[in-house]
Amino acid sequence: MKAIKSFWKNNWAGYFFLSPWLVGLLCLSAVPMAASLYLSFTHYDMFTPPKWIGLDNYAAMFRDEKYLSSVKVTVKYVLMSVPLQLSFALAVALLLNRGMKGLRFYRAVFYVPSLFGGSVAIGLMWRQLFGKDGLVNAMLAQFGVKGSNWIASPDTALYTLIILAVWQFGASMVIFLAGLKQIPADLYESSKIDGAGTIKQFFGITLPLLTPIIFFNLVMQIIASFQAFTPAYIVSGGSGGPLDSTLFYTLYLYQQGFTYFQMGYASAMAWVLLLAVAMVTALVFISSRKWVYYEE
Amino acid sequence: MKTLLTGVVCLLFLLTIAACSGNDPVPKPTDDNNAAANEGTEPDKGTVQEKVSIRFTWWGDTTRHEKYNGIADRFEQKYPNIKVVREFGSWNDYWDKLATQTAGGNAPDVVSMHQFNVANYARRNALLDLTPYVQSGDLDLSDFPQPVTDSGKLDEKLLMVAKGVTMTGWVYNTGLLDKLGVKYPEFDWTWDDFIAKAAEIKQAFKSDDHWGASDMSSNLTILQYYVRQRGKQLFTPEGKLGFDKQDLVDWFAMWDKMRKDKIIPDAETNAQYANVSLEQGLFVTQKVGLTQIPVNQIPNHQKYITDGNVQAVRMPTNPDGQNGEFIEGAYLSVSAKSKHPKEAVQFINFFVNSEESINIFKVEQGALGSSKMNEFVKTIIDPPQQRAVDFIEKTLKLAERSPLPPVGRSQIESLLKDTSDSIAFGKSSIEEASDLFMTKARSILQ
Repeated sequence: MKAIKSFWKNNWAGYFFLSPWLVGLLCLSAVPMAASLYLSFTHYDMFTPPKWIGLDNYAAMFRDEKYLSSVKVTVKYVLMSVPLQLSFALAVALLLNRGMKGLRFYRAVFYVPSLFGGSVAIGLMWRQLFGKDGLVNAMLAQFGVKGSNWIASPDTALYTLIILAVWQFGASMVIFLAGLKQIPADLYESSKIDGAGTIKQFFGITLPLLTPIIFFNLVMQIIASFQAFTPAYIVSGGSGGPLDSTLFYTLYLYQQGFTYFQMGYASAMAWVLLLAVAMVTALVFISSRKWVYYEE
Repeated sequence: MKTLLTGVVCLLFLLTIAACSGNDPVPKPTDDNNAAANEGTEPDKGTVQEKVSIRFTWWGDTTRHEKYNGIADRFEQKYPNIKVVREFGSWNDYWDKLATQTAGGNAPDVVSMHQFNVANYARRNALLDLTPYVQSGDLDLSDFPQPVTDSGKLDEKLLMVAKGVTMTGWVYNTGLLDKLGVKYPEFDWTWDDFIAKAAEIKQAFKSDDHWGASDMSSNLTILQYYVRQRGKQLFTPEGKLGFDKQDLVDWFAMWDKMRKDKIIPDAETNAQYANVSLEQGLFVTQKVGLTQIPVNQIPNHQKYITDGNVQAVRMPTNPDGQNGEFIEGAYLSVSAKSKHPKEAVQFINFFVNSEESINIFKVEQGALGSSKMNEFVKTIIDPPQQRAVDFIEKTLKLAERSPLPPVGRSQIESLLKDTSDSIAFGKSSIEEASDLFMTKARSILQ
């Protein structure tokens, strides 16, 4: 008892200053998460009290074709957009790192898309760009190519969203750029004396020393990609169409919860997503021991 | 100093609890209603009337928001003791928000309701039965024709009151058809006439990216007409599927043939235009000659069409069948948990029965419920609105009350869209797709 008292006496100021964050954590994260974990084991339509149904929601997912197709779409999106975006970010960072003039300007300009790339306005603009009469087709027409209706075709709609994700390479690029600046210049000098060319330098020095940064970016991007929602919602008008080709996991979750009032099922989906992202992240962490190189 | 800090910490703690409890029913007042949002604290000195505030919510565009705000203002002038707090949003946002509010026990008092969604709320007891208020005279429905009153009933409970009654029809633009040299369609026509007319328009366009009519194969309302004409129903009163696979096969076959003949747009064009706003749509931009709308929207379309009149004709008929017409509309309900049901009913009564309100409302969501108000409104509306009202009056005579849809309606709607898309994109045959629809629909509605 005394110990508790003295603990508070010594630490209350710390907790006081922490309180805004604590309130946020408890009210906005911990409590809703606990509630959704409970709801995931119930049938809950938001109007009548939740009814306990055990694991039925989780079992239902495996029989739900639309669910499975949303998993497929999301995995495809993550597998394509993350590597593409990171390579693109690294390539631009390397270009900017060559000590060019106006670096700050370019850095800012390239960073801008990642600030508002997830916004509704960009989603709407994307619809226009890749529509049948959009800018992309107008440009293709210059070369005599008749473009298709990228957004509205089930074969290409997802790729327009992947391009949108790659376009938001700015945040990763800035981090790569900071990492590149950390690599000691004398390494390059001595390797040059030993006769290494640019390509050899890149694979022998730049890439290994950059692996901690790549690792960080990779983890962040994987998590963000699994949670992508706005672009698909806006571009498909909330439907995930055409033919479910842009039905992201989160979009289907939203439909289940707010369009069909299957809040229990939606909560179960949310928990499966959380577990899946946690597992993938854990795998990346485990694999990182093999390929991430930390300088002492 | 120390006590002061302790006080601050305590206060913060209390705030935390308050924030976590999340049951804060005081809504944000809108712009012009900042004054006196607190209810019941200041009794009027002169009268004994308590000051109450009710919340009213609706969906719509900016024009509608102006109108409804105006009606609420006039109501407040007439009943100074009642304050109307307004909430509104677009169609999709509206239903998401209302569901969340209702689930949180925080639903507005007066709720705009629609047939499509009423079952979600009614079958879960979220709406108040208004019958006692009709009996007590607080809600005057004496000028409402019986079918119109009945269209707001479920299981003999009066759950909603029509603010506007509408019917669905096909519309064309006289300017465009004149330009193309195509004769206007007849008011009474069959599905064959419809297909022939659409083909004629397509031919007259002489263009690849212009079409005769919109593709409505994924439209549940039109499918409802189609099966009703065959003496069936979309949903039975018990909430099961009311038609057979063959009906669906015939339905999709009809549209598929038109699609292959390029009379209606291809799947990709359809997907592209699926969610655009009215003024960017295929009809207003004159890429199709015929489209289907609830006719109360004739004025909204006319607003963007300057080279002719938007005219409506009846849904194509089945020469061997029955009339498919059924009453549609927008309604007002009171939520079951309202703390001021009497004032909420008072507001609804004002909304549908007073000239002050109708003067602003006009025919925003269709012909009015009250026949008396319909007579009045005819003196103040413009020609496109008049055309909408005429159409509704004409077809209402053919219409019947259709059973309110079951809880799973929105899922069935998505399912029809998926089915229609998979046929249009050539991913599955009509037969397969219809089979799948029937299986899935049955499991949704079980």
